[in-house]
Amino acid sequence: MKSLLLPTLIAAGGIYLIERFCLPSVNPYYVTVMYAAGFNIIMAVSLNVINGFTGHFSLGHAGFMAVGAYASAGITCKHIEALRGALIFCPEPVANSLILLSVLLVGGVCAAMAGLIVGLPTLRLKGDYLAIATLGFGEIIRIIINNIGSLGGGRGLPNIPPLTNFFWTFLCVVVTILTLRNYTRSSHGKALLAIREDELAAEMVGINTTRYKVVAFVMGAFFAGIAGGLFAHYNNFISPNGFDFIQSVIFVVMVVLGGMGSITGSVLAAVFLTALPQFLSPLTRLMETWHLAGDPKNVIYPLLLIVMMLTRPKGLLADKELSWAGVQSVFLRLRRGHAAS
Amino acid sequence: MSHLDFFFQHLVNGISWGAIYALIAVGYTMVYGVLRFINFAHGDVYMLGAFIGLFVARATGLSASTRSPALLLLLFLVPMVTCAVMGAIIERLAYRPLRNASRLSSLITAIGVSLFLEYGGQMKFGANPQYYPIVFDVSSAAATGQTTRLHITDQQVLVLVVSLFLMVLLNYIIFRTKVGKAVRAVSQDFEAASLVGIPTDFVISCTFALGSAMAAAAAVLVSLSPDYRVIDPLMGIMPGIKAFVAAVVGGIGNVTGAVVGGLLMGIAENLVAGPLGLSGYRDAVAFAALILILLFKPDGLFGKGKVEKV
Amino acid sequence: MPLLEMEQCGVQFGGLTAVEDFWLSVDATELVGIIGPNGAGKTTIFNLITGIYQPTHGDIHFGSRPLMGLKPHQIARLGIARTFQNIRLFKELTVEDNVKAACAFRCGYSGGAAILGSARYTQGEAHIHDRAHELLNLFGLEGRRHSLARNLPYGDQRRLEIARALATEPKLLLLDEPTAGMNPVEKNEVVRLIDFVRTRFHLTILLIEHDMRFVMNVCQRLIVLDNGQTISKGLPNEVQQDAKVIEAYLGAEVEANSEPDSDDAQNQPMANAHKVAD
Repeated sequence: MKSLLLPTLIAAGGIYLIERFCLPSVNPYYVTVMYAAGFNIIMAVSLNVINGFTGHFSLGHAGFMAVGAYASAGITCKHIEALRGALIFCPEPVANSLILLSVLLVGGVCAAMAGLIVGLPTLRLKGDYLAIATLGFGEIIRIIINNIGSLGGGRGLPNIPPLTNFFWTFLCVVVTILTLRNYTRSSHGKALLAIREDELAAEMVGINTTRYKVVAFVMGAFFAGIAGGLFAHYNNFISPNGFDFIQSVIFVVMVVLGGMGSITGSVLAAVFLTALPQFLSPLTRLMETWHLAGDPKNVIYPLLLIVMMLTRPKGLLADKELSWAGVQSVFLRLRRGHAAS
Repeated sequence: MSHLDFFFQHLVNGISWGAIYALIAVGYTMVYGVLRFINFAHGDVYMLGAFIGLFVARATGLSASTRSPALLLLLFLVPMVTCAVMGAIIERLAYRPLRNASRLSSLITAIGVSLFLEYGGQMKFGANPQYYPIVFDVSSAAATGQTTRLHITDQQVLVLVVSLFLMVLLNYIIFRTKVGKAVRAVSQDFEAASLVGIPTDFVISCTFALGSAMAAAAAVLVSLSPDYRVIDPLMGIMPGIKAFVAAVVGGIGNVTGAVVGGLLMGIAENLVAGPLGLSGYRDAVAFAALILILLFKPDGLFGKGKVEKV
Repeated sequence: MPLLEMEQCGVQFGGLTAVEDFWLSVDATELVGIIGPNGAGKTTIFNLITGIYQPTHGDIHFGSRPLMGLKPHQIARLGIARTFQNIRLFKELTVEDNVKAACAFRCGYSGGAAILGSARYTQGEAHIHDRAHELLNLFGLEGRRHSLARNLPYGDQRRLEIARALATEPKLLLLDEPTAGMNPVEKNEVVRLIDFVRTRFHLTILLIEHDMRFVMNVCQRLIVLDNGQTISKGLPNEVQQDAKVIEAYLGAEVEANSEPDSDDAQNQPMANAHKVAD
């Protein structure tokens, strides 16, 4: 119990305090960046379980986010009044929280089912083929949603009740990180890594590769669905175009940058890449003088991918997690280097 | 138009598009054949071909009234040659350093190149759509049935003629020239080929060049159609994916398979959009086909099953 | 009852018959060798036993359990472990994690327990940790337990692969050319290692090898394959003298020089066969 429940409670307390006392004095614009970082962390960490730990290159993660977003928003858009009515005896924040948590769960479970649907058929595929197949699935999800009129189709789904708040967003972030960290550092996580390294050899040491691969997909999809639900009820508007292949690639960039197999790496990379566009405004101005239009991050991300692959393909942190011992050892090495010179 | 006319019209459209997909698919399949690598950026080379063609068209003042065989030839040659060179350059800069790295690294890099070309293009050309001049009028039908109202446009005839010519040319290159033989050798066994003295790097560059040239030709052909005059930096994404699926359906690594796959893809897509009335799902045909083929016959129609030696 | 029994096993790939009419019966604690020229189908036999290939005909039984139709991981969990001809370690994982990964299937706790950090998880992990270190110590790899598997010298990689195989607590161990690429000193060590492992863990061992001298010293009996067919079976000395076996290795008739002399393997034509076969 101490690896999940206790830290979660402590984190809940901390987040609540931050929300109550620090947040009001922060520039609202930066607050939106923080929310974006939160969603991206959940997406990156959940994708890492599939891509980094299991070695299954999935290019359709945005599709799972879409399923979660639309499943949860579909319920609240149509039935929010009824739900609120049923909870009339609760104070409004509590009612909102209950509704949010319920639809998040529904969204997560729907996304998990999508993960099952994607994971099972793609079991036998490897490498490039798997990537393309997951891309295909992601696009199919997007196209299907595009064609569902009652969910807004191509025009998107507006007026989603704003149920997401800082507390729940970051509590979900914490729970996601803790859950996936606990899973991946256990023997089950080692099984995933073994599958990544050599699937056949993993079978030879008794690892049920099929089961683990499916579990990885389902877990990753579940949390992506949660992120989707949080996003939908924050943005109040979702459209299929926001969950396209490009978006999936952005999540892949985060995983690749942070290190495939490092939860800490994904967190850091997600934060970094969320914050990065904020520092690109001087670059945008420079681009205007060169008669170049558009969003600089769309060009920088791919360049970043290429450079990373050519120089440090394992990502910044590779397989390693940030730990106290790790930080200490880095310090020691620096000091020894200093003393020697 | 009767139902049968409707059906045949879409069939004709399908074959026309199929030829385009075939031209692009050939590039994917050849590169996979020699390197076992999916060149994600191939669709974007197609896009570059379209843009280069546009510059040629503008520079030479090509239009419906000034179209001459010489100008049209230039319209095709310049993009084909330029893209051939660019394809080889991309390989040299972004893929060759990673030839011995993990497959995942190469795939990620290819995605990076693809996105860079797309968004870089967007930056350069902005959101303003660029138009090819109208060279072939949609109403000028090359063939109209007497009793049917079948409508084959000039452009569609051009597509068929040009693509047929290019396919024959490619076939000749691959099966009748030394370079082609080298390409086939490298496809079969990279190490053995290099051991017998084949300059594998050069062969690979040629493979990229050939495929890129075909894709450029396809791009110009499409852009000459009055319905698809608009070109933009993202235009290569969907055709690229569809052509890739076509290559997989045909058996990736197999050139004949790519051609057949391309034709099937074009026809299937147009039949779904037309007679089946599911135009919103037109793009989904490719993805559904991909998943089905990967599940049930991953080696494709013409592929050989390879048993992994343990 | 024999520990492993293969009856009339055969497997075909497309039109190619890799192995045909293969019979094998191994009793507990035996050490049996499978030898034969390259491409004879020896690794295919291992792949059949471990479930990588399904036999196109014939039966395989492990104790009383039929193995046909089982997935490789199920067969591994029944107690059959193997090493590979060209070493298949988890290269980017540490030495320690390579062994721990092999303990994963009997970790005793579910994913949920891991996530919650329950007592079962802590206990399970402690148990695995102890077991892994016990094995690493036994194989002299404890000092390098944090090194990446791919950074180990060749001989250590082979030992690690065996250690990893033993982590699954097998009853039957399949060793595929464990001395490939080793010099005579290293090979002697492997002889001692196999002997030690066999007694310590009460293992039954099936061994594929090319080195004749090694095989003669180590195996209790041999089976000789050539082109997927069994061409000889029996005690090492008998097999050594079998004309069919000599022909398979040397490709021509070679007269036996002298009387079979078990003390001096050097005189036997078979002893020189390893130079051709390697």
